[in-house]
Amino acid sequence: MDEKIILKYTDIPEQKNIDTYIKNGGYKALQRALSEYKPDEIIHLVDKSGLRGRGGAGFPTGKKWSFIPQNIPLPKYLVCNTDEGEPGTFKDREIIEGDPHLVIEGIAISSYAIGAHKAYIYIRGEFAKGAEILTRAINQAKEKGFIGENILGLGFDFDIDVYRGAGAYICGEETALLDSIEGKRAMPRLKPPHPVAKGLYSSPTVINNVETLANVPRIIENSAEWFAGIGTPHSTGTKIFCISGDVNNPGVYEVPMGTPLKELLEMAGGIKDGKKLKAFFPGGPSTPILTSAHLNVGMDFESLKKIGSMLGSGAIIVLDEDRSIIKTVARLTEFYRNESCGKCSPCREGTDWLLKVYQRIIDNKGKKEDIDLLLNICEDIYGTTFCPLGDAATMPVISSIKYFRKEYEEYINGKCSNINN
Amino acid sequence: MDEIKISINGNEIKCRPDSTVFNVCKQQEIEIPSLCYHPELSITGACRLCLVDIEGKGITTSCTEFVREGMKVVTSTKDVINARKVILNLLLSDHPYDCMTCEKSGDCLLEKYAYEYGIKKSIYKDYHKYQKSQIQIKEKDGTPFVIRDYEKCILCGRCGKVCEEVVGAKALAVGYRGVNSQVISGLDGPLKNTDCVFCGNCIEVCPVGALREIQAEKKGRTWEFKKVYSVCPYCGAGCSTEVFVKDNKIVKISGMENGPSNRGWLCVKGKFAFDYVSSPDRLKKPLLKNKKSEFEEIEWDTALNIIFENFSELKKKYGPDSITGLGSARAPNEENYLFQKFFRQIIKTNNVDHCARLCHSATVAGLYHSLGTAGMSISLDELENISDCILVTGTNPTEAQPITSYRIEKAVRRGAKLIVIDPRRTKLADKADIYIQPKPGTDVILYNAIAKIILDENLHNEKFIKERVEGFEEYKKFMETFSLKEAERVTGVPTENLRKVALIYTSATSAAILWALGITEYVCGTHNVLTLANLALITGQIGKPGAGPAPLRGQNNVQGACDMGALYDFYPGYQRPDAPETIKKFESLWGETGLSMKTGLSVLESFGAAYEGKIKGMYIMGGDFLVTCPDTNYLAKALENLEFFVVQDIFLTETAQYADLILPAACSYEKEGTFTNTERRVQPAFKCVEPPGEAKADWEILTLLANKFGYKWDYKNVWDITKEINKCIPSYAGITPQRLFKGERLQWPCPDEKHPGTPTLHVGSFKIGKGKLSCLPYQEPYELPSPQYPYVLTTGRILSEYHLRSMTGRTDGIKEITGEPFCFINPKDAEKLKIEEGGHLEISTKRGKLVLSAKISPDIQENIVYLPLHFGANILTHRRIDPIAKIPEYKFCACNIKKSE
Repeated sequence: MDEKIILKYTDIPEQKNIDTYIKNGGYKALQRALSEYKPDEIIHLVDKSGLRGRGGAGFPTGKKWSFIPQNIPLPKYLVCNTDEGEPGTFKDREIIEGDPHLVIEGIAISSYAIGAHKAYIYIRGEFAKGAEILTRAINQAKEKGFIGENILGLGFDFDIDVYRGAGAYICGEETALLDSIEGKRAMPRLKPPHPVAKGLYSSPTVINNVETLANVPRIIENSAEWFAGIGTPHSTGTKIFCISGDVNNPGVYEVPMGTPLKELLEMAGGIKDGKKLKAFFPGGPSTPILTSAHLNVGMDFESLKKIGSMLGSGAIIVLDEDRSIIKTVARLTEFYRNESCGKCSPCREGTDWLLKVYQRIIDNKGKKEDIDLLLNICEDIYGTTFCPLGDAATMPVISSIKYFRKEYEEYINGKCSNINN
Repeated sequence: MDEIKISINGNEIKCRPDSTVFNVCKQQEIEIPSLCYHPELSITGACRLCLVDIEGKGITTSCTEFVREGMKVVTSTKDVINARKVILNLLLSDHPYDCMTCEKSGDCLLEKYAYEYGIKKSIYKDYHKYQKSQIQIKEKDGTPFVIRDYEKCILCGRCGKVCEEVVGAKALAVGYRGVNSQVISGLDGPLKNTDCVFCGNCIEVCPVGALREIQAEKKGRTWEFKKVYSVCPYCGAGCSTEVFVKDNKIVKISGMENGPSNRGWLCVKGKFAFDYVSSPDRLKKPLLKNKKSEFEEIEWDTALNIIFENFSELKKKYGPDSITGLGSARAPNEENYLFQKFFRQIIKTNNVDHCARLCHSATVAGLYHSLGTAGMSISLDELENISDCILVTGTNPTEAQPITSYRIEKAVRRGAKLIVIDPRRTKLADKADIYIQPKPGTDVILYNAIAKIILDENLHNEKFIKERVEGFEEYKKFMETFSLKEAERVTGVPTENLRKVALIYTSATSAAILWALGITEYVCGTHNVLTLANLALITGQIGKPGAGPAPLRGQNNVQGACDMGALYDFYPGYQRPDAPETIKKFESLWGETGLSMKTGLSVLESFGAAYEGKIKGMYIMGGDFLVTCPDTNYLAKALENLEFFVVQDIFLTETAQYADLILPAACSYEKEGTFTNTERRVQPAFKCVEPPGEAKADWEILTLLANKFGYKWDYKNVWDITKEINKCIPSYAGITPQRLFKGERLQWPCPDEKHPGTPTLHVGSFKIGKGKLSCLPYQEPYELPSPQYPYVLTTGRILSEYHLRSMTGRTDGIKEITGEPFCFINPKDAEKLKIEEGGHLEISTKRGKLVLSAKISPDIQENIVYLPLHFGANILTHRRIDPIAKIPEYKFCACNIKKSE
């Protein structure tokens, strides 16, 4: 399949404007959803399409929506998670900047499905341009009657607010994000209760990723079966991959789920300077590193899980043969250490000690035992932290030692060839 | 709630489904280490030390895991122990190893766990030079009480949680991120620039030595302290305290974790204001005023003889009713009991009263009349856990009874509705569902208006009225002519807002009404109280847990001193002196004849009689009445008129300056006795330190004195008196020393030794049968503004101070946070008079003048001056009293203010 679903129109500069969006078939899905479907029918449709969350965890979207309790006298909220903070990930930015109305339409339909009359777009603080584009698009949609009271005369009241974050990675964690909207310091909340039961302002809340929501209008426009026909049986639809690192043409590439990395690398123009592939993160640094041995693995939820990694956010970070694994992982460890919210001891203290060990190795003062020490710290962090951030921090460390233990040993012994990269 | 079964270490255990694994283990006395868990705070899940093995889930934190049917938990496998060690290693990795000099050593949880898990040194410690995080140490960052030593902080989050969830101040929270996280105040500035109320509860919950008391610094190691159970000497909340003593000196004070009223918490006064105990100004020897009007030290025996001679002579010359005695709401029950006994049995007069007359006598009179029992209807636990509507009026618990404000804070977090009605916008108003700001002195008409709306809209409880209330027909008739329009004009509150109050109040399952002196201290104080009782009676919001009138008492034994009969119109247990059966009962109990049936004189009547020369002798046991009674100048003249005046106190107070003889008394930390708190709970206090010099406990002095008068009082200790109280007061009959020693903290009525005490009053019936409704016409305050005195002066308390500061004023930190004496005025008045924040103004009334600095606040209404009573306010107030309860109108007089150069 060559046709893109989400990034179909993002190359057209005018797509940001509502008129162009409508000309290209926009807001028809909303019209259809409100007039032809009952809310639970939309939930059923999305469930049937097999759409899974694109934020990293891959939870079935229709199922999540169906958990929203409908018989309680509390407002419901939809939150669009645009806190795209995972290193190497820039797909959501592409969508909101290139086709903001697609996201707004997706949010409107999804809100209708779960019975929310108010939605928030939580956008990371660094996306100033994105926030501006979204705000303008929302205003246009309000003028045209796609947002507001009794939209399209179909009896549904609905409003969206754009809420800008202030630069903390932890805000991507859905419950910390809710705290941030509530004006508190962003710290993950205890689960259960899950946000679907008690989320924003203690009310039932669905939190979905931008890419997930952008798929919703397409499912309404085409059909659940059409969507389910794309990709693999359990990873349906397309996936936007963000390819960065040592490739000739870094950027976003939308392909059907299950496309092997090899093909994606070719689309990105291959490895820079004709070098060889050494390793790659398939879905951002929070997913275990893979090597050139995994070039033919399909990029979908199941295939990657099978080989001990994850699809994550779809951020493929490519390292060529000259890259130092130790320095790369040390840099990523520094990221996690800085971004740990500080709430729980293993993550706060553990990530700091991981970094200290890496610094010692890089300072050429490492000891042979340091490799096992790193693994020990990871073991201590993994499974004991309050939220998945701590677990994520251990992924690059454990997986890089698994595949590149020799390089670690050589580095410590002073025999590493690519020590400066 | 149906119980479920889980298995812990192979044992089947039944538990509530809403418990966490950690809590169930705790109940089973299986110790699981934790640094962030605290029973009074919400789940944090931060330290990750409470790991256990749960089948199917693996090693998991037990504090975040709720039990499920059939769950299998193992609490200490090898893996679990190792995982806990890992956490300890991480926490110790950047923790200083200075236990040998740390103030917390011996009481530090991290130290304890390191010991138990055998961690000598963190395995990460070698890497210390690679440490990049910067930890600031904020020693003495401008606060007079708290040391913040964040090098020791383990970021458990307890301090921030107690600050937010219990105190509601939100002065401390975690700031920054990751390993640089740190507890900060405000935007990481000094604590004193935040909403910190200096309660010190953050210190109480800190598991390590990161937060400490400055006062206790270098005063000894934990294990050197003697710990004594006591009761806080300040407000009526009756906080149980643990007093840490070394070398006969109080080093620090903590809240007792299982304290029934305070649940471990304290406020700035209870926690820090104890320096007065060891003040060099304490009275140490009896003092006699010589001919040059100077005090000279005399021996105890001489002093007691002088009293005997003088009182005997006065009695002979002018009769027993020429002598009057004033007890103290901060002396224990036993001493107040003995004091009134001394006057009734030995002097043979009912001229005995105490300072409750000046604060809650209107409550006692009003509730005694309408309900038959004068006390808080409910317990503080019920307020926190059961009441779903709390009406707070004429009280500012945030400052005057902080422990109760913590309870309200928790109730509101639970979802209880809060109604605040107060002429001054208090802190609680910010958290209220509705805040009403009436003009001062309009309570009767305001509460009548609410009742009128309730009746008009059929929101009253007919069934309850039929079964348990009398006088409804008359009341209804009285209300028919009541005009809501007129009420709106007088109170300045739109009827619509009162309708909202009526709706919230009547739709609650259990609504409590809290009040204090903003209701009672009026010439119509008793009527004010009766309107509140009316509300509870017509709606049936009484006689069930969490519902009913709940007066907040202002001193730690004001309830008890009243119960003990230190009242001119009641014998112990509210038994009337003009009733022959009372006299018969006490004549038999005391083995006495000829007890007086003549009603005595109240506090202000006594001073009035002294002014007129009718009272010749006076004995004050603890109380600075010269400055606590209204119209100081008048009082001074009254005291000068006395022929013989004895003051028994801990300091040479301003009142004591007028005495002929001064007896040095032990303070509450220096003796034993029981105190009855605002919720009618009787709690013992034990001796912490020896009294200074020759100071003696009041009960010892009274016993010696009685023996001088030829009476054989043979109390060997305080508990002998407690036993006598058990015999005299039916509602105290079951509160015996044995039960107190066993740890029981009972609420009266407790009629026999098996009785569990009574948390909720008025269940099923009232002591007087049916509740009485009263028809109350509106009465204006006595002294209304005039062209010459166009402002209204009203008085009240502030958080850091207590009464006339004889106790609080002796702790340096308190002086620092209080600052210069001040009053509050509205910004518009400030503008009109060109007074700036901190500038000086002069308040004058017909009686006197006072110069203070001004605080400008929109919380105060225009044309009103709010003056904290601590700053000598009574030079300004007037003497007119409520004819029923004899309480003065401290809350309202006319004054003028002008800028002072």
